[in-house]
Amino acid sequence: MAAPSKIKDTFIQRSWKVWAGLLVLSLLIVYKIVRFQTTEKEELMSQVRDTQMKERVIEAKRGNIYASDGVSILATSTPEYKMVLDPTVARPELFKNQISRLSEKLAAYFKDNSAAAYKEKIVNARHAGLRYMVLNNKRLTYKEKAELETFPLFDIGPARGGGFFEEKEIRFHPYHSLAERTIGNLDKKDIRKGATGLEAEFDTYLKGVDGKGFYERLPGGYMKPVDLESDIASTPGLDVVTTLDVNFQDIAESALRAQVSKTQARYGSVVLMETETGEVKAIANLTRHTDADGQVYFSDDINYAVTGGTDPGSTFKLVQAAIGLGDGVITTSTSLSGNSKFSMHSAGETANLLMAIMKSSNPYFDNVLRRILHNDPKTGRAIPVDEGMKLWDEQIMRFGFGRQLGIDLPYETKGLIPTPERYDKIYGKKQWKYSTIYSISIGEGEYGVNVLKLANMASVFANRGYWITPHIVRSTGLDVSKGKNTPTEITKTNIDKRHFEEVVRGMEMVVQSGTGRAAQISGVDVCGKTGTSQNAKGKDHAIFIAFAPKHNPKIAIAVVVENGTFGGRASAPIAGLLMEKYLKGSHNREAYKESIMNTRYTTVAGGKSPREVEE
Amino acid sequence: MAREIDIKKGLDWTTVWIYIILLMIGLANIYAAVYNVDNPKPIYSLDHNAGKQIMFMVLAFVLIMIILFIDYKVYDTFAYIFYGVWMLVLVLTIFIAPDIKGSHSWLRFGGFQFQPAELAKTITLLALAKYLSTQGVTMSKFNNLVKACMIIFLPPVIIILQKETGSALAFAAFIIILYREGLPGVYPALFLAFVALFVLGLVFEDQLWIVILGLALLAVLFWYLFLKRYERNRQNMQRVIGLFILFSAFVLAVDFAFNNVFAPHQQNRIRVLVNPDVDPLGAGWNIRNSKLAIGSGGFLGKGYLQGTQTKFDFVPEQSTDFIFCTVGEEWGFLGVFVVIGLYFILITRIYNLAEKQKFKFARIYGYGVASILFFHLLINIGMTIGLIPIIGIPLPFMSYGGSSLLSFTILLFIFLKLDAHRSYKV
Repeated sequence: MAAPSKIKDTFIQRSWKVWAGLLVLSLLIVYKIVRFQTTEKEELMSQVRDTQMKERVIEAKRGNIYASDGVSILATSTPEYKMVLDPTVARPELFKNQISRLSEKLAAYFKDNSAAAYKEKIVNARHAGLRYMVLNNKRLTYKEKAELETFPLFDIGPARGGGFFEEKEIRFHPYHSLAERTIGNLDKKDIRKGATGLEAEFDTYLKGVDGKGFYERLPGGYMKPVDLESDIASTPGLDVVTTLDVNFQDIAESALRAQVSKTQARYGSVVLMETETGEVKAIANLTRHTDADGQVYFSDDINYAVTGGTDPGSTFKLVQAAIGLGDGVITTSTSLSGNSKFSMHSAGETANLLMAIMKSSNPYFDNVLRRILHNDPKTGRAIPVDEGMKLWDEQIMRFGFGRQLGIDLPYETKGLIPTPERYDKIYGKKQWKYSTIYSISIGEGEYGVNVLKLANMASVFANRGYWITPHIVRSTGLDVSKGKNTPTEITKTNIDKRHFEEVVRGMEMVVQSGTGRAAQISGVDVCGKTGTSQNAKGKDHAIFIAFAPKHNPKIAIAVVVENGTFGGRASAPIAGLLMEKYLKGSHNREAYKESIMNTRYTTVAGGKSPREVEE
Repeated sequence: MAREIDIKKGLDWTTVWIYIILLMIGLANIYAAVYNVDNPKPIYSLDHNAGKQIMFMVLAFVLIMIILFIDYKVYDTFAYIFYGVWMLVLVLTIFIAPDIKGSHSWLRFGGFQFQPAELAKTITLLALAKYLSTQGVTMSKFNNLVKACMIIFLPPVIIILQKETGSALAFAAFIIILYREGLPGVYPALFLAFVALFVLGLVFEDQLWIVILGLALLAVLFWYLFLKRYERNRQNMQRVIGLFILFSAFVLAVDFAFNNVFAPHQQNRIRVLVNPDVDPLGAGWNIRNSKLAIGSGGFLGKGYLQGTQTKFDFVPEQSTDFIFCTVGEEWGFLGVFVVIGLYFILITRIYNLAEKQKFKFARIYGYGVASILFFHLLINIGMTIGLIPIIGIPLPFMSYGGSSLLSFTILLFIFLKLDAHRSYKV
């Protein structure tokens, strides 16, 4: 019997071993759970908080863009609301009582759906357990929201009724399309980022610094923003005060619109700037469109003023005159006789410099540039044209051509100027001479000049030889002592002041009795120059630059009307009107007023801006 | 009439009461897991799991009545037939069952579905108990051992083909029975050694040489410290070296298999055990959140229906495989302790009852019941507290689900029926 009992012992032993194993594993589990409650508890709890709380961005309020008075708001952020309902929140009897009334009120308010349709939509959503539904896609203002808050289920708070309003900041332009392109727009995808114009250039100032907060995870995984002490508040963006004047901007745009319309031009652009400060008071770009129904409308979507580039045309003759005088290749009394290349001009035009400017003599300035390019101003010796052009390039760059002026708007173009390198490339090294390129003498050829440069050129003559960096932002932040302040950088031309006086006399004559008579202002000496930039594809571009008054000038202007034919007719009236308004505070040119304001152009129905129509 | 009175007398009421209490705790927690604060529904609502579980409980009661009514000899007599039929059902399931998340293990009957794999454990246990209780069959005979193993491992192979790896793993519980019935200790020892090596292989996944070196060191130490001088003969040398090679090969093979055979999600499920940051949003997510749920409960818990972690699928499969988390979060350590305590009493009581059985069939069956329950408990709780990889097996009697509830009920009550008749057969 020894053997069986031994076997039995073994079995009992094994039974105990199984027992012991069971006990050990159970204790291991208990041990682990006890650890959860004790040593590991802190770590676990912090992890719970991590999963319960999710970081959220507290969005900074974007700064406003103001006009030069620091009061008129050109762009600001305002909240917009959407009406949202969590249809599962309301208790059954409450829901039953209110749903019909709510649907009726919604139908009466939005008028896009019947009460029955609203009711069906909401009831279905509730049935499906949908926790979020936008009742109507209409963007609501604060005032509209206040009214809708009295609706059933919205009047008892989101916790009981389930109704709430989703807020979104949008950019609002109180003056609608005024200076639209200059102010710029926000990025379409990232609506918190500036994409064009001042919104883009001053984005770093405007956007502010976002704060940090938390969402709390509610049962069901819904995230609810919570206010905590640990929240990092956002810093609102700085306001940007521009130099733009709402009135001038408005007149500039309407006058330009009238002219563009009247001349059937493709686009027009105006830059109005203060000569003493470089502040841009108005900057307008209008493109004319004709829609499918033949209706004409305008848009301000391309910033020709700083990004475009055309020939400066005859206005460039002023620069040639100043350089010619400065280099000593001509004097005011120099008479340069005709050249068969320009057949259209009579002998009288070439009697002296002032006559040449007034009559915009092509042969005269052809000769002037020939002299400039073949003359070394230091020694007075004759030099090859490419060397002379290098020196000439240096001089015209001091007038702001072929370089960025440094305006505080994005995408400013450098522009083009004729250079020996360029001609070497076109014709081969040294394979060209002055007679190959003579058209640049009258501002046509290898130029790329935007309207801002033209206004700046007018400013150079107004200041008799220097310009101040044009700018459009006076300060960031309403407190002018902070942030970016007015730049006062001065660029000099190195040409003697008296030579400018001489050219300015010619400019005065242009307006008094020459091609720019349309810019006259009674009691004010206006100095200007017309230009016509030749256009191979169609009507020429009308250019006019001017400043006023002649003594102690205040204001400079450039107007370009593309396909506007002749500068004196299409562009000069706008310049006169704007300068008069600036200098006198009002203008007294009924004729122009009428011709401008009553021009036959069609605004889009309801007086809406093109932008509104687009939307 | 007489038989029913006897059943009432012979039935082990302690076990029955624990069974009922666990069922009730389970139901309360299933309700908590599906409870929606914003849209509360009564516990009996058939819209959610709690209401359905009540229905399954009613069904379970009917089954209990049937089991207690049927002659106890049926289970012994027809064990092989049940086994054969059920294997057929399992194989058929692979082909009939619709694809549910890649697994083909659910049979559909109208609006209901049933997982045959759950009941396979009970049926295999019956067959195994019958075989082991056959005259002359003993685990020390290799031939018998192979046959027993075939009975045990056929169903899990089919179940793996159904892509229900979790359920298949539960069959490992049968090793405990074999051991109890005389399986040489070296087998479970080897089994444990392999498990340990597997875990070590994972921990040192990128430095496997450490494990191999450790094994070599162990072999040398064993040779000099544990073997007496006269035992250090050529034969034992060969054995030690053989074992060393076997273990090393296993480590390398596991590493290879792990990286080449397992799907990435399965790899991650295992990797998160040694490093929860491996897959923080996948496999790590479940473990972390279930730990958080249990940890955040504190000593007394957050209170019934007050949990935030165990709701709305925050932990997936909340009312089924992760029901233990809900207990931990809402009832705290106290609740966890009560539940584990109840299971401990239940399992030890079944072991005790099993040891008291005069008939081998009943004893082995009882042992199997306790082992299967224990194995499920260990794996399920082990996985919720991050001791064991996520293996989708339910917590007996508490998890939501008709198949598991009914299968465990059948498993337990067949034993209680056998036990009730213990005194009859002398």
